[in-house]
Amino acid sequence: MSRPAHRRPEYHKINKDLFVLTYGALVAQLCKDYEKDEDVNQYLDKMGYGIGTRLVEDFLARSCVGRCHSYSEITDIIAQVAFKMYLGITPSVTCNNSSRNEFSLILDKNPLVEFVEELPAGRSSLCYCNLLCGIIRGALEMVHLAADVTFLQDRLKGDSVTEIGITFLKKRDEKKYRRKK
Amino acid sequence: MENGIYSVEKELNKAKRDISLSAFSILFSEIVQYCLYKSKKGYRLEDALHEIGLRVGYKLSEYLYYKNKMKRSITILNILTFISKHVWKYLFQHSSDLLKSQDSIYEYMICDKNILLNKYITVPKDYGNINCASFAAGIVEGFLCSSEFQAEVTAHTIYENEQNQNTTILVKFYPEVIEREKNH
Repeated sequence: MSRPAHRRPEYHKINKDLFVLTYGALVAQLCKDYEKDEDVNQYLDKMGYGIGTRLVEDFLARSCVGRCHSYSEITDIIAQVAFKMYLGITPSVTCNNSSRNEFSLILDKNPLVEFVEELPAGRSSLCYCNLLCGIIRGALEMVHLAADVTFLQDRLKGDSVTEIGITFLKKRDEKKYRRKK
Repeated sequence: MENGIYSVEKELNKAKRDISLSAFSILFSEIVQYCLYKSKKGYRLEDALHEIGLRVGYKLSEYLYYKNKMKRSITILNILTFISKHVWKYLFQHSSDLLKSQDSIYEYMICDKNILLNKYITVPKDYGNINCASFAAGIVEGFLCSSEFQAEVTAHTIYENEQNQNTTILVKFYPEVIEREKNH
């Protein structure tokens, strides 16, 4: 009679091309409205932040993942569950430093750039997929984790792979707890 | 540059892949919020959405004829049927109805009972009759204009009763197009 605990909500799908073309149209519109690449990148990041804050709730509702105990677990879940669920790809994760708070997601195939051959002339420092960085940053902030997310390498700019770097920052709350003790 | 050409060829021939509705819906809501922000600077919300849809429509006209292995339409009825059946099915998973206006020879209407774009959008009363399906109207206009059927396309909300709202996309062709059709 009652709902089973792990029943997942229905998973509606739509055509990927609509999503990819809409994103491309959005970036083109932003390029028309803002002259500088930095402004476009910043606005994309801001929009991604807004999307991430809401996407994380949808993600947690659909995926039923448990609590994570380390930054590397979190990055693995982002790569293997979240990316798979929303974009259909699984980036590989590498850890960049010994203190285990800097990670990289290496994207082999990026569906957002499916119809992009190259960046337009005069827009060489445009981070086309900067929305993804904002999404990850917004989602992590909603679960009380501050992080810095940027593009380390970008295939559209001539690098061999697309690499997103996630740096987890120390929480301010930790210091407060220490004082109370 | 050579790599770029081959990658586009590969993408054109790939099998269709799906993406979750929630990802698109949340992206679309951010786009609507961006257009709302622009509307404070003097642009109308619907015009801003329409402009973004135009860009999508321009790309689709070449791609979809190739994908469906059909010849390009050269009559009004053919192209509008193509849009209401194939383009709608490709973008929104279901086809729409095509109607001809009784009052004017220049006007046609594409009716969609529950358009995907408005699924998670409710318009507050003080915004009046704004319909975010202006994005779809932009797509149709981009498609038509790039196929040399110049038209003005707008989206309208028809209230059937308190709960139900249908979206109608009104296509108004320029007189030259109708003249050309008559001379065919």
